[in-house]
Amino acid sequence: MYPVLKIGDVIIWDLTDFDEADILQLLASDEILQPTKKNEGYVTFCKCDFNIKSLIYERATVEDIITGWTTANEELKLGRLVKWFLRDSLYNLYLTRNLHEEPDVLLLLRLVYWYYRCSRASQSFKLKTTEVKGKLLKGLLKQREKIGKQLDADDATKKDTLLSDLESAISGIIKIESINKELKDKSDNYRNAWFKDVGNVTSELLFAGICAENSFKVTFVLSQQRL
Amino acid sequence: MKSLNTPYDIQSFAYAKRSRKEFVDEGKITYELVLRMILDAIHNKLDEIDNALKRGAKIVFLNGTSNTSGQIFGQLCLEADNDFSIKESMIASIQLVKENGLFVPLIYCATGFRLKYYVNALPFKVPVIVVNRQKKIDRNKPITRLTC
Repeated sequence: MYPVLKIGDVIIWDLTDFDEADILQLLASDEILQPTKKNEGYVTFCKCDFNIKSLIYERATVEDIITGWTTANEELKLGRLVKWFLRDSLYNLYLTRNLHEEPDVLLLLRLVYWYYRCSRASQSFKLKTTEVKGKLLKGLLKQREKIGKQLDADDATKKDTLLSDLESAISGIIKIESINKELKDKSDNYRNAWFKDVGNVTSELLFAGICAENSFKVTFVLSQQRL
Repeated sequence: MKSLNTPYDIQSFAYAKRSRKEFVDEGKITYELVLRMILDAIHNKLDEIDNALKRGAKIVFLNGTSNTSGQIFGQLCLEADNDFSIKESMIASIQLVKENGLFVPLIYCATGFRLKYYVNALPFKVPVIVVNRQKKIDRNKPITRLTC
């Protein structure tokens, strides 16, 4: 088990509080949707502490991320979608704890950070927000919520059972087939598709943000104006 | 500008990280190997690059972070203690756009974390032809490094 990742004496992430938290309470809590300031160098998100200089960007500040989250949440209305996918992300945190993989909730913090940086870099960024929203939401939300309801309604896949089964499966104690596999696969597919889109949007915003940081003039245009 | 990603999902990312460890353990990482892997990653994206050109992209970014090539590239940058600057890549790419219509610049990059978050980049020249006033990749010519 690796709840803490360090490089030398520097903590990169610390999942100790997440490990000690009641998972059902976490899943039911809106607080986990909000990144908060732990100190100048660390953001707490999903009860995990993240070193923002290492994991987000060397010039990132806690205030940028918190403001970025508020901005993206309002402008993109990510609340509903993020809540569902964040719930799935908690499974990934078990992967992180066991296999030392990067927690994928970090992708959301990077998204809001670069979204915020781009919004500050150019007035024309407002032309981009509709495109970003379209890429992130598409038809995924309804489909994913429908599956979530099915999963929750299924006695064999109550959240606590599902979580403990997943954790056991990760640890190799039981086989994943004991979970409602069809729904789980569908859920994973939607989740992966969404995270892929988040990755694509984030990388686009990252490039634009870094170009602006290096004094290149950045202007966003509507898709149909590009040709 | 058009940004493409190598496939982003947990499985591909985990596989890439595992491959990186094996390459490090076996001491295999050289500039030539990295270049070959990056070119392979670019060649796997030719259709998407063409699509980017169709949409009017002047410079194409390819984010290889979740691909083995990106992981190996990051390791090379670490071992060589060399910062492959995205700014230098941008300057060279803009220069190419201004001076030579026979190529489109592609900036390959990989991000990662250590004590700080890093973004390493390497620019390439993608040969193009114009068909019906539309730029397309000239697949008969090689993609080469763009010197910064």
